[in-house]
Parts: sequence; structure tokens; C-alpha cells
Amino acid sequence: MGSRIRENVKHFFECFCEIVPPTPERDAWILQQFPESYKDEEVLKSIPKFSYPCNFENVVIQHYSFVLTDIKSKWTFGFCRHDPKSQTAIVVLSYLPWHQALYKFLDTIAVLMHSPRAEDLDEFLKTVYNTKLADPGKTFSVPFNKGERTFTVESPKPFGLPSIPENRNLTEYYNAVDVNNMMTVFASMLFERRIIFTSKKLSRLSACVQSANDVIYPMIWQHLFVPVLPMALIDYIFAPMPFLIGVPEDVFKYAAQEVVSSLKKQLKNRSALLGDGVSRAFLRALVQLIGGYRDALEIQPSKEIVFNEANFIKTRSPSLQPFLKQMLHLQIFQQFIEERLQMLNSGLGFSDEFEIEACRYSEKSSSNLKQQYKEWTSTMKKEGTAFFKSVKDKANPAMKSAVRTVKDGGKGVKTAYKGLRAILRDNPSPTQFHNGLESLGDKPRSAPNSPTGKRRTIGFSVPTTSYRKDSLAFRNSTSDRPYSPLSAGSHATSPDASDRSRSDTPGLEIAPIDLMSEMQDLLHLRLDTPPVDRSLKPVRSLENFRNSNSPISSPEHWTFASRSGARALSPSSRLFHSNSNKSQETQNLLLSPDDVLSSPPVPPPRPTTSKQEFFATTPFVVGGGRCENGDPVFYIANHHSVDMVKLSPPTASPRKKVNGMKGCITCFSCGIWCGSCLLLELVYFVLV
Amino acid sequence: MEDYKFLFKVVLVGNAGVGKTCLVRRFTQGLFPPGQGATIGVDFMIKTVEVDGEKVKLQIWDTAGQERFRSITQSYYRSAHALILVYDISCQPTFDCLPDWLREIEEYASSKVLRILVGNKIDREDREIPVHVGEDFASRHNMYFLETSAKEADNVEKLFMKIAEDLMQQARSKDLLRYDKDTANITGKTSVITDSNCCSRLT
Repeated sequence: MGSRIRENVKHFFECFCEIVPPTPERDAWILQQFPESYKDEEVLKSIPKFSYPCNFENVVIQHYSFVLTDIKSKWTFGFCRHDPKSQTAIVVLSYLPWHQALYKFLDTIAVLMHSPRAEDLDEFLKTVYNTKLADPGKTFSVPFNKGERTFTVESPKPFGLPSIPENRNLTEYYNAVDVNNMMTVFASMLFERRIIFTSKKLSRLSACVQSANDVIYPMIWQHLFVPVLPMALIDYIFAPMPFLIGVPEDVFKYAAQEVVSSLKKQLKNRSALLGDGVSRAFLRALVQLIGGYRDALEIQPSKEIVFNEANFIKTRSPSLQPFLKQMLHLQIFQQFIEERLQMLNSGLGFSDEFEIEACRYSEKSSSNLKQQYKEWTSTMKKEGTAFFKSVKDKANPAMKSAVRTVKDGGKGVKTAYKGLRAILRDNPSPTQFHNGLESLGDKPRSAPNSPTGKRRTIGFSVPTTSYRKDSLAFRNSTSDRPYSPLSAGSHATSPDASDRSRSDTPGLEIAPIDLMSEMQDLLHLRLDTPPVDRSLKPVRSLENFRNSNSPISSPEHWTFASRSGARALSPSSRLFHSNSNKSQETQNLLLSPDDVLSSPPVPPPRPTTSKQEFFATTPFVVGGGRCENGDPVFYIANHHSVDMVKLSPPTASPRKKVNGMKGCITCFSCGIWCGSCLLLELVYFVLV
Repeated sequence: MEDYKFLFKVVLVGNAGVGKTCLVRRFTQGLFPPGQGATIGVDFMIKTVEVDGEKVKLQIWDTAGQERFRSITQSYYRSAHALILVYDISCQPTFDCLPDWLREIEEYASSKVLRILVGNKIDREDREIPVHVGEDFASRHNMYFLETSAKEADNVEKLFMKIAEDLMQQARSKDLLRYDKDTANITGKTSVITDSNCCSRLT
């Protein structure tokens, strides 16, 4: 089925290896392994490659994970620990995606490797390997050092959403990727694009790729999934099918630029909302998008429940229809529906976090549905159809834990709201600053020096200025804002009132565009507010804006990295430019590997300076390629439009001019939700 | 870097055990990077062939574990140039699954991807699907059709060469068209490229 995590896992880990780093003469190799009986040759061959995927600095202890996919598409997780004090790296393979637990395990192993008693490690590994896994929610503990110490980890509860800070991956993701990019990643995943993350830090890279997948729950990424891609396998980024790949930055040589220090500062030190706030925000977005699948279920007595695609589309609001039509035909959605149907038909009912959230979203229709389903199951039972043996065992604990999470979630919202009020009090007048923004905001879009730039305005109505303005407006008018399930504020003010309005508007009434802004609101409100609210610092922000203003309006500031010259004229690159099987010319600009590796377009040139503060108004390069005469050409997008800028002849500005913009390249952030402008195939994210 | 004029991506689809991997290996005959199928979940092989004196590089992508898909959807092949759907002529169930595989493709008939139906394992004595049945199916679904034997190397070369030729022809006609067009339009709205001359029979 769609799940890529193995079931009925017997051991906490499958294999432990110590890996010797590569030298110029020899590839990395396995120094020792446990248990000796682990014999999967293909996997053993791959472990050293994935353990030393590239050259990397090793100044602090690093943990990261990689994923191997077997022939049945199931995942095996590899957890690595690189200690600068050690000559070797240690790796544990496991079928369990329990990142925290396995990192802890690695740390314990590292300690034992230095134990005076050589047998300690071996004994420990043996005991852990042979100890039966604890039931979900229970503790798995193994004594070691002759019983003097105990290794304990908790078996994750089923249906629990990843939480900050407990979940290292999500915490990292949230710290490393700003809200807009998070949403772009989210949308790109739902649209099954080809997505590349890159970072210098392997730990960050793997955590972000894993988290990107976690937050699309209950969807599961169906395609190539490689959180850390070793140098040797770089060709995989040319795969024609959708993928989610983390590429160590070392591999993209041309991308190896200095990290913008201020940006780094900005990304760190964020006051994360504890708990599963981030996960839940995404989950709610999914409920809003696809939760309505329930309205398209056909429940008839004595028949299997089926999903009616046509009804699904028909019952959605017109604005959502294009998006959902597209989505119907994606692997990820089909897998989702199939899994839901399986759950229902086996009598498990609507019991996971997603369904609970969906119930909260539209109570009325869901109670009807529940009633229908109840009747259906009772008929099925009467008829003696024997699918329901495990119903009680399975559904009840999930329900319980869900109720608890719901309560906790409510608390979080209240806290966020309190903080928000505090800020409102402290910040008297942000208006002036925002007006300034608005007028400046138009400039970048005009791209006056782009001779061939025909522009299409895409139906995307996110406010033209920074989203921060929007979120401010929201803050000032929390009370009269209509309810939407994604807005944390209304939850907090009056849960009852919102419940009522919710039941009045069942289904997905909200325009797709709103979803974006709602999510922005939510994420900003809940995540960016106390104690450090960056959005309310006009002085700094204006400064940033001035910087980001100049390069866009004058393309001379854009440049292509060297090497482009001669090769640029080769017919092949022209051809590939046009060869994508969909006629859209913006698609697939990177069809020829040469284009990617030896000539510049990805990542494309960047404006001299620009910070993510003004994401909404700052255009970013979404793709690059060449036109007929070989001149480089690239596309710039902001929230409203996509422009093409042609450089003729290519400028030869010094390379140092081309930096900044890290972290938000290739954000084709415009019409993600409108479904009609699937402009880019490849989405590319730099994590600094 | 190897010099070539065209690069085409070909994706193989079909039930497990129909011989997709063998087909590609037979064609590439060792000229491929070491297989990563078992650890990445996708394997690819590369071979450069010559068509009309031009070097054409075929990148053939072979995915494991598609059995879990109810059908393949457009996202799966939207960046591929050709899609080869393989069944085993000695195994009825692999043929019976074809409509499932194709369900999504049908809905996107406008998709430009070149589609080829391949009945593999003609070396087997126990044929279950007659040639004409495969042919019928292919013509009904607007696909090319070919029967091969990866084991005996029958038609394998021909299959991939035909794909290369066809795609090249397509590319050329598009390329000619492109010269008439203004690159300025990047919305993909006006650049409708017709594939009129890609319909030669693959026999």
C-alpha cells in the first residue's frame, strides 16, 4: 500500500556499522558491523556512500539520517553520527523512523566505543537487538554496563503529529525554512514536483527533507525520496519523475557561496511554538483542501464504500475545483483515497488526526456521515461480513490520544493569543511603514529593462505588499474577521462562536487563495509572535527593502556564472529548452544534464542583496534557460506575475555581485493554489 | 562530458516480473552506471545511439515498486519523453493490468509523451496473449506496439532505436516551429506545439 514505513518491525535496529572515511585511494568502507548476519549486499555497499556523501567539515558532532528505498518501495532509515574526535563514523540502520530515539542510541554507542571493557559495546548491541520493541506509547528500556545504566526510549504513539521541540526534524525544518518557503514546499509536494533541497549541513538537509514529508500527513510521498544524496548518485536529480531530494551543497559547486550572516541570524533564534502547532497548521490546510473527500463517499448498505471523483469535484467550491481536478490525478491523492477507503471498509472508521480535524472543520456534514457510516457498519456486521475483528482495539486508543491532543492544542492557541495581544499593545502605529512598502512594492514587478518580457498576471490575490501587512491587518480586526478554521485567533477568542459558524458553512467554501493567506496568518501569528516579532521592526525592514529594490529593476545586476559563453550556443541546449513534453516553455528548462552541471541556470543568478523579509514583493528567479540565439534568459516571479528577462549580451559582472537570495531561489510561489499555472517542474530550495 | 545532440528520458512501467529491467540491461549491455534500484528505488541506464548521424542519448528510468500504484498518474511521466508499458506475453494477469496502468493516461490524451506497449518474453513457449490481442489493445489506446524478448535480444535494439528516431523527429519539428515563435511568452499559453509527424508506425 501507500505507506512506505515497514510494518511488523521486529528489531529496534537492523544493523550497526562503523565506517572508515574515504581517502583519495579508497572509497569509504565498513570497518565493523553488527549483527554479522546482516547480509543485504546492496545495502551494505551503499552504507559507506551515504555515510560520507560528500566532503564536509566536521567540527561538531553531527547527526543526520539517510533513507534507502528497497525494491518494494519501503524505506530503511540510516542514522549517522560524525564525531570530529573520531576517525570513523557510526551508522545504524533501522526500519523505524524514530529519529530521536536512534540518535540517542548512536550517542550511547559512541560512549560505549570508548569503554575500557571492549565487550560492553557488543553486549549492548546484542541486548538492544534482541529486546522486543515496546508497544506504542510505552518505554523501551535496555540495561547496559552490567546493569549500571539503562538505555530508554519511548515508542512513538500512533497518530501523534510531530511536535516542536520533541521532534528534531520538524524543529530544524521550522528553524531553517521560513514560512513562505514552507508553504511552497508543501504545495510543491502536493503537486508532485521535482524538489531539490540543498544545504551545507547534512543534519539540516536530512531533517528538512524528512519533515517536508512529515507535514503532508496523511498524505505520503510516493516517489523518489532521498534526504541525502551522495555525490556518486548526483545523476538522480535528472529523474523525469517527481522526487524529493536533498543534495549536499558541496555538490552544487556554483552554489557554494558565503552564507549571508544576517539571514542566518534571522533564521535562528526564532521563538518556536511548542508542541505540534506547525504540524497542525499544515494538517488543517490539508483538511481544507481535501477533507471534503468525505462528501464524495458513496455509502450503500452491503456494498463496499467507494469514492466518487466527479462528485468530489462537483461539491467543492468553484475556486477550489481547478486545483482539486489537478490533484485527482496525482499519485499522492490516489494513494490517500485508497488508504482512506481501506480504513473505512475495514471498519476502522474515521479515527485518525486528519479525520478529527476534518470533523472539527465541518461538524454538520461529518455527523451525517458518521451516522451513515454507523448504519453501514451495523449492516455489515449483521450480515456477518467478517472484516471488523480489530475495530475496537485499533480505534479506541487513537481516539483517546486524539482528544488529548485536541485539548493541548487549544492551550497552545491561547498562549499564542495572549502573546499577540501583548504585542498589539506595545506597537502603536505600523501604518506608515507599510504605506511606504506598498508604493515601493510595485517597482520590482515592472522589470523595465526586459525587452521581451511579456507578462501574465496570475490570478493570485495575496496582498501585493508583504504578507506581514496582511497579518497585521488581521491582528487589528480579529473580532470581526469571519471564521476560518485556519485562523488561530478566532479559535482562541470564542471557540463556540466559531463552531457555530463552521456548521453553517460546511464543505470548502474558502477560495484557494485564501488558504495561502490564511496559512500565512496562522503561521505568522502562532509562530512569529512573542517574544521576537520580526515583523514589527520597521527600521530594519525598510533598510532591507532598499537593498532589495535595486537589482530587480535593472537587469544589469543579474549575471550568469562564467562558463556559459561558448556552450550556450550549442544546439542541444536550445533543443532541450523546447523539448519538454508539455508545451509550456518554462517547464523543464533543465533537461540536459550539462545545462545543470556545467552551465549556470540552477541556481540562477541572484540579485545583489535581498532578504526574505519582503518575500511577497521581491521577485525571485524561478528558472533559467536559453533562447534561440543562445542568450541566457531567466524568469522572475513574484506573487503576481512571472516575467521573463532576457540578457543580451550576457553581462560579465564579477561574481561577488551575485549573492544573497539564499534560501528562496526558485520559489515559484504564485499560482500554486490556482492549479492553472503549473509553471515550474523543478523546485529548488537552499537551506542556509 | 560526452557529446550528444539529444537527450531523451524514457520511463518504463509495468507489473513486477515482466522483465523491464532485463529489457533495459539487454539494450544497454553493461554500458550503464551500477544499478541503484535496490537502494534508491529507481534505477536508470544510459545509452548513446546514433540516428541519422546524430548522437542521441537515451536515459532509461526503471522504477521498482510501482505495484503499489493503482494506476500511474500524469505526474509520473510529465517530464519523460517516452513511456514504455511492458507486459509478459506468457502471463495473462500482467496483460489484464494494462487498463489499470492506462486509466490515467487516457484522461490526458493530449499529453505529448510517446507511448509504447511492449509484450516481452516472446522466447517463452507458453504464450497466453496472442500477438493480435496486444496489437488491438495498443491501437485502441493510440500506442505503438512491439513484442520483444530480452532473453534472445529480439527486437530490443529496434524498440529503443525506434523511440530514439521518433523522439528526434518530434524534437526537430518542434524546434523548427520554435524558430517562428517569440520566446517572450513563457506562460505556455500560446506555444501549442503540434506533434503531427510523430505517428509513423513502429513496426
